[in-house]
Amino acid sequence: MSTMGKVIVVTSGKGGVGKTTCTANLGSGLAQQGKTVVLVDTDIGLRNLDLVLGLENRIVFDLVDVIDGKCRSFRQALIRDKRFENLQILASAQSRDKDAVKPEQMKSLCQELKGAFDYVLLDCPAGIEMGFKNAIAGADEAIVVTNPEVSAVRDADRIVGLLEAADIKPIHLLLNRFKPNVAQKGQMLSVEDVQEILNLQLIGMVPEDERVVHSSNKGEPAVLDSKSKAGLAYRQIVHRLIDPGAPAWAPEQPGLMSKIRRMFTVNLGSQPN
Amino acid sequence: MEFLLRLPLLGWLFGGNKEKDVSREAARNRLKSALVGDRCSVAPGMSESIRKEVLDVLSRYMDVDSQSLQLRLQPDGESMRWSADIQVVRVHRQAHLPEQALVDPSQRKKRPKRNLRGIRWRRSQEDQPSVEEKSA
Repeated sequence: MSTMGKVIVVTSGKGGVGKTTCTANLGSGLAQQGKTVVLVDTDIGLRNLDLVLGLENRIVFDLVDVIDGKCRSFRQALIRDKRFENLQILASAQSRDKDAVKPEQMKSLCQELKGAFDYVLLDCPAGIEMGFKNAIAGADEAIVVTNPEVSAVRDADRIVGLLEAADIKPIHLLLNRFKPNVAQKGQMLSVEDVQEILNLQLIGMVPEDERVVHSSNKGEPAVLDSKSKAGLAYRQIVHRLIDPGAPAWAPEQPGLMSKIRRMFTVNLGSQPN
Repeated sequence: MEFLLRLPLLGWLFGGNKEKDVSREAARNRLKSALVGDRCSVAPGMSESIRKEVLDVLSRYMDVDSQSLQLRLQPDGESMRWSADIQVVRVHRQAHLPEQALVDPSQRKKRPKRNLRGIRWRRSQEDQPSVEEKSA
């Protein structure tokens, strides 16, 4: 209670890059490490975070109810996670629009929340309009989620400009849905390319993993799935969030065939590449 | 050896990265150019402030037609090219002295004199007649 928590906004600009999945996974990962965490779905009108975590049936009050003062305190609207009792979520309103909330109101809510939790993660809506402005109003730090695609990186750059203008720092880069095999063949932007273009500190890379969809389907975050590569990446990112000095993880995972291929090319004495 | 690698199966097995699809390069270059344009168009008042400063610098050396100044940012091969175009009315006579041109003529100070060894004369406290000596 004595120390204030951190408010981190998870944002991207472009939709569909995995903001909600990241928020759910990082939140669960932080809770697994014993931190007290609250996840706030700020995407008013498009509620999703509850579904990814399998908490869709427990919602009574939402973000707009809290801001409008329809419940006694924010605590009444928080939904406790199934797996971790130190993880709570505040769902967004489904029947309202983004103008139902003002940046100043979000700011004071974030201030209240960070007095009660170690981490406040805000799941930001796509775009740069009112919803985005609301989401970043009370944020201390940001995680910019992007994919190794031109459109996602371009939008991320725009978002970074707006975050810098709002004096939010540090801004962490999370490269999601990365395909090491494809990047190795030069058919996709590499981790270094994206990092160089956006000129941000990389907090981690999450490989494309079918198990992520599988976990979302079941409402169980991949970070808790010990077999999932993405889950492992999320756990690494959680460590880096807690301790910024922890090493970044950029695994090179060549497939079996390329290993064999490399073995032969060396033996044949020809120049690889 | 080379022709063996052309065979699809052997090529796939041993050729590996022989024929690289370089779409990564294309993505990187196109993205970089796009971001130059984006950042310029987004920064509030940037082009106006560049315009003002360019005119400021130029007018130290020459009279220019400020109305004719055109600033352009356009793709040039794989990178972006920024160019300025302006009509010159006349060039100042001392234009070949850039370090003087940087200083406003009214503020221009005389250069310190140098002795033959190239050491700048500097009057130290001791060299100067002190107030007491004067009065005495």
